[in-house]
Amino acid sequence: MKPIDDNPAATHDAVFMLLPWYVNKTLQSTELTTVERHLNACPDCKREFVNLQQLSVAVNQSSAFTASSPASFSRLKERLQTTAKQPQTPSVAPIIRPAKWRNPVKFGHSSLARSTLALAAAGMLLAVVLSRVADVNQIGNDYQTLSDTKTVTNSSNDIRIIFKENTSQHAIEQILNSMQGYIINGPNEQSLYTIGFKKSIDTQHAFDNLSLLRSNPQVVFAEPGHGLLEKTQLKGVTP
Amino acid sequence: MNTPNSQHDQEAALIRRICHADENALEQLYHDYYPRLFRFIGRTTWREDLIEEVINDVMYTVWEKAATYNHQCKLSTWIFGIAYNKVRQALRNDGHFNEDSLDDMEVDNAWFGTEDAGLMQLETHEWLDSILKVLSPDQRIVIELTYFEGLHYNEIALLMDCPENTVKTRMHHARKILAVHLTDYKNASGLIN
Repeated sequence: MKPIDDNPAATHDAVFMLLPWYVNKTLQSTELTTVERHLNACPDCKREFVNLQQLSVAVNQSSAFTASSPASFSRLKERLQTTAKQPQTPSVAPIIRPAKWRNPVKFGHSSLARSTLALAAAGMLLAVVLSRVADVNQIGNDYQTLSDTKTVTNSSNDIRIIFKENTSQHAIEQILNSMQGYIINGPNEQSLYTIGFKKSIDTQHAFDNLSLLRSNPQVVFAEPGHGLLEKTQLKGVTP
Repeated sequence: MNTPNSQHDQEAALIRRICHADENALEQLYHDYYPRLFRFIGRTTWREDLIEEVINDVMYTVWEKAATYNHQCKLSTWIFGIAYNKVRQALRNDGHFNEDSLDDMEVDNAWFGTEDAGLMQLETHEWLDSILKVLSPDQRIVIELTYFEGLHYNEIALLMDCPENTVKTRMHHARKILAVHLTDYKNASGLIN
């Protein structure tokens, strides 16, 4: 959302344009505050606000084209039966972070609270490290870590991934196609694939795709490959 | 009553079932959206004869393209986006949708007509229905999506596949036209002395 100009005339124009969405209560944060503040001081906008409220009521009261007959699915059903639909893999839902995460959580300043937090953070970090080590051991020697000295030959945005046993090749392709990905290598003996992405996918986008893959029920393991981790170190992208 | 989250979950489940060619799930979605689509298409095209056909086209597209719904927007926004494109297509086929006039306030009055003569007898919402016909289809769509569907301008921009400022401009032009006709209506009704 663009900040509204400090110039009073520009603010008036911007607020005047936003009034319909103030009426339908969908404005948020900065825009909402700006509109409310301006409305208190501008009789023109206040008058227009009242007009738009009346318009909103009238639009909602109008009975024109209210469905009077029950929906008839039969014609559509006939149409469906002329073409057989093949089951498709749904697109993966993005990870939606709860809104409360966007605001920093405020804790007390007692030393007890801080030390408890520090212990909890250390414990979580240890758990993450151990789980990564366990994952690497399960996968075998084909999985490279940053400390490996093997030459990297893969795409720079590569991801290592293992799908569930019963996942069909078609389903794998659909998952990868949905994020402009393709198979570079695999599957190896441990069913591990190395996948890459088209050139238009940048590092941050590759990590977004990694998150999507991790949340896909058909995926049992997904971790950044050597090239992607290396770019993370260089560019400071957060996995 | 469904909370937004439970409605979202139910709709996501329906889409997953539709991806797996479950006709019962499509039928449920069809019944859920029928009244809203009926109104949206009716008030956008002002053509009752088109409504059923366009609804069926919309829901057929949902059936065919369910796997492409990526959950980046509300399901209703995705479905209304499909409906918007089908409406454009239907009006274009009938020669009533002029691509050149999408972003300005050119109005085909020869087609929509004006009904000023009867305004005195009309209730406010009837007056509105009469005046809405004077707006261009895109202006009516923005009015309907804002006030009836309660969408934010950025959702409307996404749905209409246009910049946010275009949505604001279409609304602005619509408001100007409505204001002029409202003044005429009030004068004709003796509401302004």
